[in-house]
Amino acid sequence: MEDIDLETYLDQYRQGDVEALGRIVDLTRKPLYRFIRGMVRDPHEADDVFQDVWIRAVRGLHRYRSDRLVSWLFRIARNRVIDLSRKRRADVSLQQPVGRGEHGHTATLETFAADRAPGPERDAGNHELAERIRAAVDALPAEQREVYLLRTEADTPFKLIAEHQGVSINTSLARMQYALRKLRDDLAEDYETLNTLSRRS
Amino acid sequence: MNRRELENAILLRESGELSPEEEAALENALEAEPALAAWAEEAHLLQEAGRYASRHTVPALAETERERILTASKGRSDALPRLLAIAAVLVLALGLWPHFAEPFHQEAPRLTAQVKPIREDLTGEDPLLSSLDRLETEIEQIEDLALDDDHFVEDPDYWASELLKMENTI
Repeated sequence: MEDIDLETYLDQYRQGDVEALGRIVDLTRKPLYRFIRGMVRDPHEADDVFQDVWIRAVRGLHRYRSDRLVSWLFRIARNRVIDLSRKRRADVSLQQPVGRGEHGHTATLETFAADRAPGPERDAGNHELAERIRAAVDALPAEQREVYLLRTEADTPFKLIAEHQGVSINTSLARMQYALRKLRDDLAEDYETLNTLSRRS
Repeated sequence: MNRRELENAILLRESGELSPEEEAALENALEAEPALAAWAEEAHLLQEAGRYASRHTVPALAETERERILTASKGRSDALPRLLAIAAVLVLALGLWPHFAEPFHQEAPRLTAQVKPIREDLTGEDPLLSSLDRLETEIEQIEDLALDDDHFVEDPDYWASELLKMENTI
């Protein structure tokens, strides 16, 4: 996300150019949507949350500077996810871990390294691997998953994550450490291959 | 720094939240501790894995969602100035109403009423007061009694005894 572009588009939007809003959405939607999908498993609910975040954001878009905008969007998204969770106490995505994906645990992380090479087998293998990683992320406790997703999807600094969660920065860091340890355990079999390939590349 | 603090520092370095001095200290620690360096690589790899998984498992947001947001925003941006304009016109109209309404202002209708005085003339004699005056004079004539006599004030039975005397006399 380019802050300069974001600032330019914000200025244009403030001057009444609605199309500039489209460009702001384009710049931010990938990380924001991935974060929401990471927290809300149901794709339709994720779409609703995403849309709701933007409708709420539009109301205050005139007030925000670009350097705070992304953080603010994630904060709105986080609040909406919490609202949704309260409304649906039984939502498995926030209340309890889910199992591994439906795919078998057969593909190796060689497919991860071969990500840039073309081919249908690569696509299938990549998808299986991605599903396993995804399942491991889904299995994290909600607070840890949130920290992990805010770091990986939005590159949010720990200071801001701590603000979002209303905890100290040390608590945010500890949650990230716990998340990484759990992912390391859950992805142990894949991890060794990944590590080897990562060193090679 | 202990191990936990060093791991925190590794995470903070990835998020760009370390000062140059802290980063230098961390680099020294990483060189001195291979296990810590391995942990740093592991942390980086596991975060990359998450990004990778998202790219492959989260579908792109439907274009229709983008359009819905823009439509909602447009509806809002069109409606707001319109509402503000209406509100401004109303305020202006209310403010100017007394000024413009003056030429059309009509005088209030006059009410006529007939008042019939109880007495024809305030300088004339009030029949009630004159009766009281007359009564007072008559009472005072009875045995030269004055109404401002202290007996009236101090002896509530005075009048009764006087009347009894008169009755006996009759």
